Order: sequence, then C-alpha cells, then structure tokens
Amino acid sequence: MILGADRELTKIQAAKLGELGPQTWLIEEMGELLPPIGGFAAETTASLQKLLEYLDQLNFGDDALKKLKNRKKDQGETSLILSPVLIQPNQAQHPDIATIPWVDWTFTLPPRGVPAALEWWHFETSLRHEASWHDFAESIGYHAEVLEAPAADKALSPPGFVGGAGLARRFNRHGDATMAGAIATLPTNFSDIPEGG
Amino acid sequence: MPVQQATLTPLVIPRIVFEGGNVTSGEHESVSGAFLVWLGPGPHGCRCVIAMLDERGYPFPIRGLANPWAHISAKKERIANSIKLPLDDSHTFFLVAHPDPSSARQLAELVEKAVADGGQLPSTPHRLKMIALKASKKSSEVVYGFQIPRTNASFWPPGPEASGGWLLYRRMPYAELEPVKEQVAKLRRALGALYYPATDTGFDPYAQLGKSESPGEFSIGVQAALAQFQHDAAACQCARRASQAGPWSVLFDPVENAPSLKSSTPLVPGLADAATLDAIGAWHQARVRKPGAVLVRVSQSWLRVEAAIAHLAFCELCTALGLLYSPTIGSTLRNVAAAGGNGRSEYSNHKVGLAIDYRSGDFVEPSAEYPVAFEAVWTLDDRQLQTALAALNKARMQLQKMEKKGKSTPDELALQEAKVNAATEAVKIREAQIGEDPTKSSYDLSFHLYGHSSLDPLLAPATETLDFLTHALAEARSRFAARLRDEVFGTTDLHPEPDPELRAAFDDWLGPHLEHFDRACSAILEAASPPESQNAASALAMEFFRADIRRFQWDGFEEDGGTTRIAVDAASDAKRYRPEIAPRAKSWLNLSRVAYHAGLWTIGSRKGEFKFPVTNPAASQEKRKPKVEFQIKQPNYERYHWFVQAVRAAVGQLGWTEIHAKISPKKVKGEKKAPAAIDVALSVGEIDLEQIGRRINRVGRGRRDSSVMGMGFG
Repeated sequence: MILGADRELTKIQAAKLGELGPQTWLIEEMGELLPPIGGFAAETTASLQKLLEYLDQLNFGDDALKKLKNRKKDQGETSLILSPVLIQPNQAQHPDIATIPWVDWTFTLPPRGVPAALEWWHFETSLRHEASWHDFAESIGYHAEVLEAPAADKALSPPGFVGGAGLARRFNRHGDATMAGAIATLPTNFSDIPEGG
Repeated sequence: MPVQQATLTPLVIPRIVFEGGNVTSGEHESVSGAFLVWLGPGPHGCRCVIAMLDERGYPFPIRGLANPWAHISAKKERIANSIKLPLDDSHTFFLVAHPDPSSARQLAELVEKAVADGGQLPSTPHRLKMIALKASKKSSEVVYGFQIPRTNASFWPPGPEASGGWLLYRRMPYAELEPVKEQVAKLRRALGALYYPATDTGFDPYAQLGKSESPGEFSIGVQAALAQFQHDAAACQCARRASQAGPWSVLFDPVENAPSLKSSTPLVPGLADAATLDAIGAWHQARVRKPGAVLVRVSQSWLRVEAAIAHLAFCELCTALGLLYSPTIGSTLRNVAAAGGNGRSEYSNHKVGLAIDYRSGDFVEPSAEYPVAFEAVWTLDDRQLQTALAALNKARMQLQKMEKKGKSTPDELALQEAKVNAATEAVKIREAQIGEDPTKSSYDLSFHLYGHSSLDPLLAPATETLDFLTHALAEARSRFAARLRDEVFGTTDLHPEPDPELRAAFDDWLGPHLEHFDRACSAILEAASPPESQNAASALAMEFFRADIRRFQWDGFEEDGGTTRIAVDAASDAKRYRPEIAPRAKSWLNLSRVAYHAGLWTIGSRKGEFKFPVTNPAASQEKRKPKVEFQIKQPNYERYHWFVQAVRAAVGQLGWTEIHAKISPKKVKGEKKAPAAIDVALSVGEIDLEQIGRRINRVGRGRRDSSVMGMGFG
C-alpha cells in the first residue's frame, strides 16, 4: 500500500498502479483504506521490489507527477508507508483479500534527512570566539542595525529602523550567549574544542 | 409628494499601477512600497489621507504605525481593510517614494498648509479618474485603479541627479525598472570600490568582478553596506589607499579623516540621497576606503585575513605532515541575506568571512580531489540528564540561600533538603538509564577529519620521524612566510623595491603570524619526540596519526544521520577514492588536529541537529521528535517471515544498511499491563527470523539488551 500526504499524488499513484495489469494492490491514504484494487499476487519481496521500482519510474518519468512533486511542500509532512499484504504461503497463488490479516502491519518511512547538515567539511577560525557576530558584521562593512531589524513576518511595527524589515538576527550587541557554539572560555587543547556550532 | 432620490457614489478599493506595462502580470507592475497622500474634501477644507501601497498596489492606512513596512509591505492584509475611494470622481494625490513614513506626513502637512493658505502645492499632484483594470492575468474580474507613468517625475521627493533622478533604497516602488537597476548596479560598484560589501554573492563581495546574478537588486546587503558607509562618513572615519603593490597591501592602509557627509536633513540609513552620493564621490576622489577590516581573496574565495592566514598555515602544515593532496576550499563567504536551514545557520560565520567549507563532494562521499575521511565522535549530551542536573543545582542553591538567610523553619529546611535528595536521585536514575540503555539522543555527534598521509610514524623509528619533521616544518615555515610576502607585495616585478613604510609595517605584522606558526610546529615536534620507553608509541603517532579509521556512513533515516563503517587503513581506502595515491598512502593524518593548531576549529555537526531522525529544518520542532521507522503492532510470530522479507526489500531498494523497529508486545491475560515496547536495530545482514524472535523474547522476559541498539559507541 502506498500512502502519500499529498492526496493528488496518491490518486495518481493509485491509478498508475492499476495499469500494471495482473499485479494487484491496495491503496491506503492517511489511515483510510481506499477500495482495493488488488492484493499481492506474487511473492512479497518481488512485489515490493516491483512496487518500489515502479515508484522510482513514477518519480522521474511522469511529467504530471513531477509537476506535483515540484510543488513546495513541507517535507516533514511527506511520508510513504509501505504495508505489504502478508498472506499465507499456501495462498500465494490464489490470495483471498478478504481474509488477509494486513491491518496491524505498518511500515513507515519517514522523510529522509539532509546530509547538508553533517557539516564535516566546515571549519571556522578561532577568532570567532573573540567578538560577537554583530561586531564582525560591522567590522567588514555591514550596518548591524539594518540586519538586526525584525524580519518582515515577525513584527507588526518594528521600532527604529525604517525602509523594510531586516533579518531578525538573534545576536546581541555585546554578548556572546546567542551565538551558536559560543563558549565562555577558550579551549586550551584539542579535546576542549566545542563540538557544536 | 415626489420621492427624493439620492445618488450615492460607489466606493471602491483602488489599485495603483504603472502604465505602459502589462498591468496584469503581477506585483512588479504595482507601485508597491510607495506612500499615498490623497487630497480629500474634508469638513474644514482640505484633508489629506496617508496610506501605504502594499505589494499588489492597494492602499492601506498607516495611522499609528511608526514603521509600517513590515506590517504592510510584507504582511498580506485583507483587501477589504484597504482605503476606499469614490469611483466616479477625479482624484488628486501624491506618491511618495521614501523609506521613512514621516516624509509622507511631512508632505501632507505642506499640502494642507498650502491649500489652507491658498499657496502653491509643494509638487505637481496626480489628478486622475479611476479606470477599469483586470484583476489578474488569468481572471476576467475587473478592479478599478489608477495608472501612473513609469518616470521618476511620478514620485516625490525628487531623486538626486547623480542617480538619474531616482531615489534609491531597498523596496523602492520602481525597483524593477531597468534604468533603476542600472543605477543600483552603479551604486553597488561604487560602494564595493570603497570596500563595502554591497553585493549578494560571496564570490564577488566588492562587486568588481561582475559575478552577481542580480546586480541591479537593492538587497538588504546593499542597504546594510550603504548604511555603514553613511555611519563611517558621518564620523569622518576612513583609511587612505597607500600602496597598490599586492592584493593584500590594502591591509596596511593608514587610518585618516574622511571627507565628511553633510546633509541638511537627517540621514536615513540605507537611503542613497544626494548627500550620501556626494560623499561617495568625495571618497573616490580622495582615494580612501572604509576603515578597519577588509576581505581578502584566497584561491578564488574571500575571507577575513585572519581566516585566510589560518588556511594557508593549515595547508603548509599538512604538506609537512605528508598529506598526499592539498586542502581544497569549497566555499567561504556567503551572501549576508542567505536564508538558514539544511545545516546552514542564518547568522553563519560564513557571512562575516570567518568560516571555510572545504570540498565535500556530495556531502556524503568526499570528492576525488580531496578524498578525506570523516569519522564520527559521539560525546554524552543527554537532555534529560541536563534537565535533572539543572533541577538539582536549583534545589541546592535554594537550600544554601535559605541556610544563609537563617529565616527558615526546621520544617522548611527539611523539606528543601528532601527536594535536593530527590533531585540527586533523579540524576542518578537518569545516569543509570543512559548506562543501561544508551540511545543516540543521549549523545552529540561530531566528526574528525582524516587524510591520507605518506608518513608512517606508527612504524618508522621515532628519531627518524623527528629528524624528517624538523626539516619539513622548517621548509613549511619558509613557504608560509613567502606566501604572505607575495600576497602583500605581489609576485610581479612591477614593484621590485617595496615602499619602505609598507615594508616596515609588513615586518611588524608578519611577526605574530610566524610566532603562531612556530607554536604549531613546536606542538608537532614535541609530540614527535622519541618516547622514553622504546616500546611505547610516540605522542605524534597517537595524537596525529592513525593506522585505520572508520568512515561515517550517511543514512538519512538514522537519528543522527548515520553510523560507522568498518575500520579501513589509508592504502585500502585510497584504492577506492583515489587509486593513484594508494601506493604512497601509509597512514591517516588527523586533519582536525592539524587545523586546530593552525587556528581553524571544526564545528562538526550542528549541535542538536541530529537529536532527531529528520535533519530537515523545514520540519517543525514538533515533527522533529524521534520517530520509529518501522512499527509492528500486536506481533504475531508467524508473520515475522513476511516482515523480514518486506524489510529486506525496502532496505535493498533504499540503500539502507540498518533499520530500526519498534515492537509493541500484546498485553497478556492476567498481566496488569503489556510489556514495554522495545526499539531494535537490525543490520541488513542479520535480518532473519531468529534474530527478531530472540529480541522479542527478551522483551517478553523483561530484559533489555543495549547491545542490539548498534549505536556504534560500544
């Protein structure tokens, strides 16, 4: 079974899977079982593999689907649930969908994380602990008051600076507490290097 | 008696757009961001209404708003709340293009006074009747509004001649017009030439290389740079461009008094008014630049000079320690307006030239050019434990306070002591829980980088290694000093005899940098000193080199992004990533440690980012709570075979190396509650019925074996 957070996507997937012919599938959407268009007729592994391969084709080959997938969506809400219909071996050739005990089996694939957050390639000079972000921004030629102004969608009437909203920086003018990874004392050896950032 | 019929003029919500364009194509055609000063017939003569045009061109009242920009220009108001005007009448209004709403109020006062006194209006107003406009490109719906010419004469106040009569600022209503974009590009280049980073790309911070994709955009970076110029010019602070020898010679420009910025009106930060443009011109004529720090270029990338020097020192130390390739920069400076997310911080040190991203391939595997390995390091950082410790600390502080004051009764003291004891117990319980059942959420993940080195201090005699490194580091020091000299004085023969003043300033400046480099060399040589015991490994071998390491395997479904691979030596690893260096790869060099001595500290993974299975910043905090990838409810042992087959198929298709399952056993008759659920981790190779069955049995017996978690930290 396939579940997509996107209703349209699910419908298209359902329709496409129906075109597979003798293969039969069940579609579940957001916890609701849609009318079955079939069950697993073949051995589970093979069926799942075929399903996944077919999903890959859908993802990259179908223009309509591409269009849907390109829409801006909150990735956190997108998930794909595969629930294979678990039939008894002796029913493999002639499954009886009505008796298939599938309902208490759910395989949930959460949205995949992004490797861009690993940051293993990132280095910063030790100088960053000697002043605040605010000071560094100003020293290279940015007026920090502009950047500090509240972001457009976060304040109704920001005081002071006019001419459009700022970036709502969370640093403070003199401090170091709001900088991510800021530390109170400098490390004296390698093992003391702060790991966060 | 005849019935009197009153004819009411219908009120409509007007929209103001530029004429001559396709008014239906979107916001660019709207006069968004301008203030509207409308002359209406009031009970006592003229009365002005002041409004601000939103991004669609609809006027919204700004009464009571000190700064309406965030409210009106960015927040979509309901159109019904906008100002309504009679449809059939001819209307008289001014459009004010200025970032400060007080300018519109000032104009309104002038207009009202002129009307009351019968004097001349301060500017020629628009006198127009509303016409029908299409609501949008696709819609046949009709809205009513005004069309005004696309010229600077449509707006008040008049702009400076130096910028073609356009008053330039961020979110100006005519920002999309080509003549305006040309003026903005000119302004950006002018500010860049004074070393103000008025640009939107980290590859061309001073807008001199033509690398911006939108050179005509008045971004927040331009606004911030222009505002800083105004600040410096008003304070008469600048540096005089003294030498043109090498690219870094700019670092030695002496500070002096700048041509001042004089304005008859209060300066508005980020507004390119006539006084500001005059001051920019005066600075150019006086050959001065911004005071203080500037960005310098290294390997086509831009950095603050401190970071650039640390990078050069890192490269030379790596070469001395046998690294078989050079650290390759991927990116450094970032657009100050860039959004955060996906590992990027909105207040990143990249934006201020302090951070370097070395080449990272596709984030998961390194590039062949720079095939470094990254090994995971987990350190205990449990949030529940932190909370418990904080509660304990608070309880202790309260107890001390009560004892110090001496006003508490014995009962109150006893109660507080009990609280301290309870908090202590809570800490102990959590510590025990972590010990028995570690999860990835209890740990912070960071990475250490390793590179393939041609040295082998693990096997070579310590004295030989020390001799070799003494010589190699001395050579590295010479190369480092020569590189800095070239950057300052240039590599051409145009300046064979350096300016004596510059020479003296350079020598003073170079000293501390060489001292820092020498300290790094000393740390390495000290570690390389032969151990007292012949059988002991030298500190160098232990601290800087490894025989094998375990690369990190990315997995987007893991709680912390992945787990470790099997141990691999440098030569075997090089065969996969860069075969031609494999014969010379003898050991792994700890690049993180070398970088530390050079003045570069790694941040590893973002702290807390991997406490959640989905390292997706788009997901809300709530959604980031740990999830389980697989759930089995009401397990039926006969079905495990099918479960395993399905999991194996999914694993095979999605490239997983390990999956997690949450198993919730059924409540058995006669028991008060069902056994606790258990999380199990299964490697691909070990997914079989017996494994799962055994683990389920453990649950059934109430035993939990932490080793099945496979967390990679023991």
